[in-house]
Amino acid sequence: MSEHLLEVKDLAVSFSSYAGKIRAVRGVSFHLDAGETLAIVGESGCGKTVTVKALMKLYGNSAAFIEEGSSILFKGQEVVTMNNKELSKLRGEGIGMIFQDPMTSLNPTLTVGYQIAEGIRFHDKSVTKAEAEKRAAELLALVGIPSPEERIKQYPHQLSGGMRQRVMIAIAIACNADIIICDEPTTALDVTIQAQVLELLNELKEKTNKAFILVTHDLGIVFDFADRIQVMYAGVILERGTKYELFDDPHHPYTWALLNSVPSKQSQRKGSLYSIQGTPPDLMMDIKGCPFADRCDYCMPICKERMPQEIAITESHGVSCWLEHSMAPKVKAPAAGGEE
Amino acid sequence: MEDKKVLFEVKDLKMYFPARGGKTVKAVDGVSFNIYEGETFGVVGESGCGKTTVGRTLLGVYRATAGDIIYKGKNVRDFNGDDKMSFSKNCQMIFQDPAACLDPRMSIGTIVSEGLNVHYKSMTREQKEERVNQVLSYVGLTSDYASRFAHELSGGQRQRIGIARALAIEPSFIVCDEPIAALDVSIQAQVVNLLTRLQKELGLTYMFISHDLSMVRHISDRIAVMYLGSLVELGDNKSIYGHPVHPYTQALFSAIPEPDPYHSWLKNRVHLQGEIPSPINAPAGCKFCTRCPKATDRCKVEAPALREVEPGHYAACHMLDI
Amino acid sequence: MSQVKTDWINDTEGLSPEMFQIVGVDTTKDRVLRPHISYWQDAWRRFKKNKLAVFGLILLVILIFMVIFGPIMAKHSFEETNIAESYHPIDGEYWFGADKLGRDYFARVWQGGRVSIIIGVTGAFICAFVGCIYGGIASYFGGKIDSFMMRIVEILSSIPYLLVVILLSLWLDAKGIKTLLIAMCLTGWTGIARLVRSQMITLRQSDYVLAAKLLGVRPLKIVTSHLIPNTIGLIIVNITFRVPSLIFSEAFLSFLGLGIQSPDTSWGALCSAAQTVFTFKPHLMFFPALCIALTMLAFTLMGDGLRDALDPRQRK
Repeated sequence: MSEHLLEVKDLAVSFSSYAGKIRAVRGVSFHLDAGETLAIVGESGCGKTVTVKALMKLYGNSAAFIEEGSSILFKGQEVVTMNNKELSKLRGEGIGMIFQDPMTSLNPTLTVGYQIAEGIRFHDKSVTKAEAEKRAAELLALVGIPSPEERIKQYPHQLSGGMRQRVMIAIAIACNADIIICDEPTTALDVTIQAQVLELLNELKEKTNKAFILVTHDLGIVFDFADRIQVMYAGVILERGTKYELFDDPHHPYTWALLNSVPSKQSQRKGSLYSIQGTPPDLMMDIKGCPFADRCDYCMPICKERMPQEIAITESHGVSCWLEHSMAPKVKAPAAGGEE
Repeated sequence: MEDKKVLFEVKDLKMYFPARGGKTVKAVDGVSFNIYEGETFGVVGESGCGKTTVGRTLLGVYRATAGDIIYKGKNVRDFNGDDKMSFSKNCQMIFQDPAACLDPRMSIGTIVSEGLNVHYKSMTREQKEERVNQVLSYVGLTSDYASRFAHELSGGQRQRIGIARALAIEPSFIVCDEPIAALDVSIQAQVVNLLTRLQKELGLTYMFISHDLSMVRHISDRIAVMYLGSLVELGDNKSIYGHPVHPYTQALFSAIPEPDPYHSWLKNRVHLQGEIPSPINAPAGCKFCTRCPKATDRCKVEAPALREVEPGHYAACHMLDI
Repeated sequence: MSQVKTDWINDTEGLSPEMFQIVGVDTTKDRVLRPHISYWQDAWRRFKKNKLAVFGLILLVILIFMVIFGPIMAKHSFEETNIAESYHPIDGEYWFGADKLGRDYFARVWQGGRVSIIIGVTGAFICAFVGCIYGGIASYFGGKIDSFMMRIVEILSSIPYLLVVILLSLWLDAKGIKTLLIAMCLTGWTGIARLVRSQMITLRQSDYVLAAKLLGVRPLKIVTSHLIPNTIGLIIVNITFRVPSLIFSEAFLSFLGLGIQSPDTSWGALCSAAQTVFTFKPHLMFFPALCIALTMLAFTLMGDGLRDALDPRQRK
């Protein structure tokens, strides 16, 4: 198999809190190639943000650590064992990130131009301040901000939400990273602004050969923007596949639930939306069996005993569910917008 | 419209707030609509459109700067003490943030029974307890939740308690101010199902304020679209979503993400230029003229009035004048 | 994909058909929540987990114990002078030695402690009481009244309290506990007034207060059932931090000679008296100074712990 741009094997990330160890990610494996867009979908607490932050060992201020046995290979090099110098190079040049909330992700005391130039100058010491500023203005124009020369002198609070997010995108692509991680990039934006930002990201996708990882809970965006999708729940991947496979032939009950709990044009007005009962499991406990078992309408006794392995339905489509077993009854996905 | 009883009649409502530097924020700038009994009236719009302010002004949280709110035939300005009591008993609100809508020091039972102490003073303690348990079961929670505290509950459960608190005094009208925005997708479905069920069982009227256009489409009978304090389009669900006529509504609805890998909603949407202006510096004339693809000189000077384009369907746009 | 496993689905070893019967969601089993505890119990639990805070509490308990029983435990009374035993060294008879007038220093230190701690605690409570009422009224009325009241607060808090003490003692022509208390409290309440006012203003805007208003709850009831309970935590923490600062202020003033006068004594007064013989008998200053430091440390550690325990944002 040819080498992937990014290859993650059995990634496990835990946090130590005063109440115990929280195992946020419990063995996740996937890969990413240049020019591809991978979406990681799931609700809050499923571990998707922790997973992508772990790719460049970014934890903020929590006491997080990558467990033994995890492997993250970026261009063949192991990230887990990188030293600080190598990590600094990786962040920005190798992998760039767009954060969710542009209000809190930009430094309010520095001009926008400075924040873009900061990254440029960090990674290439030979660039002068003037050159970096020029490049910053170019980037602002690239992301569709009008009058960029004036904007680089402005502060984040002088820009609207949509513009701030564009600045975040400019920062992420400033050093020509190979992978851009978008962590809920449009959740905090208005609908029409969200569409503008997504169009910008699409443009970037088409013009460059960068790989994108999109982390979100919004299926509407995912099916438009991504090539492949992974569904995460309680730190594990339950189903993965191309967007067509997941839309036409989803196999996992959680995927069914996600697809059906969003009302679409076809769903019956004021009809019952498919909703999942219960709440996500406590991540401090060891979970025996499938983490979704307690909330699954198709739960079988074996689901609570053992975690199902992943089976390949096609080369790109995989699912971890006991319903795939030869001894399990054959079930069909419920119709969208049906009765409870 | 069929012979439905009018619950609220809002006429040219204006709500202005003073801002720094002597300016005013025209949060709501001349809005008129009716709400009929038993319906779900959806209000949608983006930041700065004033939808939350409309909801709060309707319930009297803010005193309207101008305009009239007529509840069951009586103008709220003419309310006496009894009217006010009756109004607060009948008209309630549920809030957006489940983390902030419950007092962290109070037990759930105390929170839910707060309204009972005001409107049902003659109830004995046992009766109040019974009512609390009854209301908890309406929202799908067992009676042992009454002795719990807010910090022990999940977001979805807290939102249900907020609903239970509103239901305890048997209201007939509830303003739902972004009730699902802070919840996970699967929990959103739970709460929306709950609201729909309660409406059927208890005959409630809702004003459903949200920026989640798919949810509003799912739950509302009639919808009002707001932009920068003005009402741009109003009508029943089918007409509005089926054939929106106002350029803003068209653009807004075309930007709703639809999960479908075969048809890109993004590529087919209506494009709008520029950013949403701030309500302090709202454009003169039609508020939408700075971004409208069809704007003319007239739009920049004269604000269009809300006119009927087909029975029950209203829009405010000069382009629709034939 | 790295692992293409399809043989697993046919592996039936050790599996029986019953294991594959669909049972669905078990609706009787609700999520096991932690046993429900009130806010105060929860706060106490979090406080206990904070080792430094618990240490502070234990230290404080020991100090208070000594302060109450120390003078009784000592072999001699704190007032009884005995010139013959002047500057008696530390031994089994005089546990902390004796001072210039032959008085048992152990007894004197703990007797002085009574005064210092009482002043600190009383002063803190007076400040809190006045500050709460003032801040509450200002936040309740808002508008011009609020502005006016806050301007007064700002003016008062910019006056150095030392100046106030000196002027007051000159004016009242008296030094001692009462003057000291009046002086320290005259400007000491401003901090908590600001705190209470801003907390109440913030709370007023919270959704649950709005919900209560919409339910028709009377304003006074909102104040007593929502605003006050949510402010008490803050007040307690403030008091806990105020006590050591007042103890220190008292010590400082007494050290300067403006506070406690003989025959009453406090830790500051003891330090002051021990100043002249510091090079010969350092233990005379050491003991009261150590007590001041330990008391301040105890209150501060506890205050830190209380603040973390009572802060609702730190929940999880």
